[in-house]
Amino acid sequence: MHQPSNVPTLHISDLNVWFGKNQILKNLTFDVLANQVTAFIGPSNSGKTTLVRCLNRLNDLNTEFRHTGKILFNGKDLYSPKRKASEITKQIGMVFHKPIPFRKSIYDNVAYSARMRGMKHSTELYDFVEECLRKTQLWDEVCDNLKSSPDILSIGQQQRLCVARALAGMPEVLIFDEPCEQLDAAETPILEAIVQSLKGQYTLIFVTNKRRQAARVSDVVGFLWCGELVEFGHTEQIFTNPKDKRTEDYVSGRLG
Amino acid sequence: MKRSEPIFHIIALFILGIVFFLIWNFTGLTTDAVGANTEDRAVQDTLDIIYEHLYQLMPICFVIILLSLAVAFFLEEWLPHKSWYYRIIERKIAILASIPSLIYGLLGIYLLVVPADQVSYYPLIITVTLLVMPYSVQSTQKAIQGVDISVREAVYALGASRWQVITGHVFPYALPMISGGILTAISRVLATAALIIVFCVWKIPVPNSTSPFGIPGIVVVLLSSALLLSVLSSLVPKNMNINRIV
Repeated sequence: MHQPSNVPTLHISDLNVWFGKNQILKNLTFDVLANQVTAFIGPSNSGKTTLVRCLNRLNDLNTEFRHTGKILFNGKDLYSPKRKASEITKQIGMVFHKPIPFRKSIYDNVAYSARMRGMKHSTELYDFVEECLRKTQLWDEVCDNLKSSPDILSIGQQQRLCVARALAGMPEVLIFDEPCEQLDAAETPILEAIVQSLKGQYTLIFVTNKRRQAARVSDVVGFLWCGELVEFGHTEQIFTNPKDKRTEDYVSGRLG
Repeated sequence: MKRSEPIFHIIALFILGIVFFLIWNFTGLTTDAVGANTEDRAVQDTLDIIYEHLYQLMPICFVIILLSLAVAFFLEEWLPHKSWYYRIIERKIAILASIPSLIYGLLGIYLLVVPADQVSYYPLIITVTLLVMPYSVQSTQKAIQGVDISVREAVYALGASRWQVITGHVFPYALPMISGGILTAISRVLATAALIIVFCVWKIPVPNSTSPFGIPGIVVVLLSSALLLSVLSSLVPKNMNINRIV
């Protein structure tokens, strides 16, 4: 059954984050709803990346990371000591701002995360890889070169390969951390179209510092400014009728 | 880069083959020649001990290198980098690795061999450990630090455990640099062995004039294999791609 979209997949309350003595995020409270695109906009250094890396516990790699507040994933505490970080990242995938294909063949790049989930049968695996590559509109471009290195692909294709690899991990939530930062004007619409096509099946979180991109892809937008969540609401409302002065200045281009 | 990889592998195998052939053949030749002809028991005993120790070098080096790989991965992957003990260990390793290898050899002779007054393997093991371990731990650490943090994060973000990240990605990515460091460490050991032989037993006369190789022969073999190994280690491409095509 399709889940009703008012169930919060991620519930964040009073989140404060420090790296050493610097406070990066201040008192964030919001809900991420299932099967929607939630975008975060804001200038660089506003804490967008730190925020999304809290959601899949990637910040744990940094020993200076410290946080207070609660993050509930489907009602359960994300940072409870009983849960392993690797269990979380299996359910919450991530695409980075720079494409990082592994030094394996294109096929094995995608099959890597599927194998990690215990998929071993070769025909099943092949079909699954094809499905993932089709979802990212990459299959027609690489189906003849599955055994070759991802080095032959363009940056945009490599980024889509990384999306396919994240999808092959069968996540529930997929985080895009400025995925179009290194892509050119021709590749960006393709990735945005992929994000749109994935919307019904996954809960998507999209970080960008391009306001118009957020307006194009997202259903809900949060505006971060110096670590504060200034405004969080429906995309239309944020872009047409913002409540906060800073949001209005930012979306209209006067600020940042 | 792509095209030169198989050539590199062939060159590497070829040089390694030459080194082992030389060591095997030369030492074999000299033992036979000396053993068959010389009357002087003391000289023959000395040579025998040298050969024995040289043969023991390789397995000892192998074990020590495995150990130092484990130590380096433990330091880099498990210990928090900002802790005081990590910094102390790293600094001490750097100091130990920067000491010239001959000093270790001479210290081994004068502190361990001479006072003990008998032949045993402990001086060899201790000296080679001090010689190889700091150096290979340091080079392995550098290699691990050289792996791009984004690769690590990308694997973690797919839900891999720490063990999967290390064995599946960090180690293969760092392997070219690790092997370069290990080859240099072994060549340091061989060169030191040659120098120590020159220092200590060069003047022992080999009475048999028909044997062309004696102690100078061993020294030449050791030095030339050290040279070959260091050339080989400089040939290892630092950004060699692993698992390029499966």
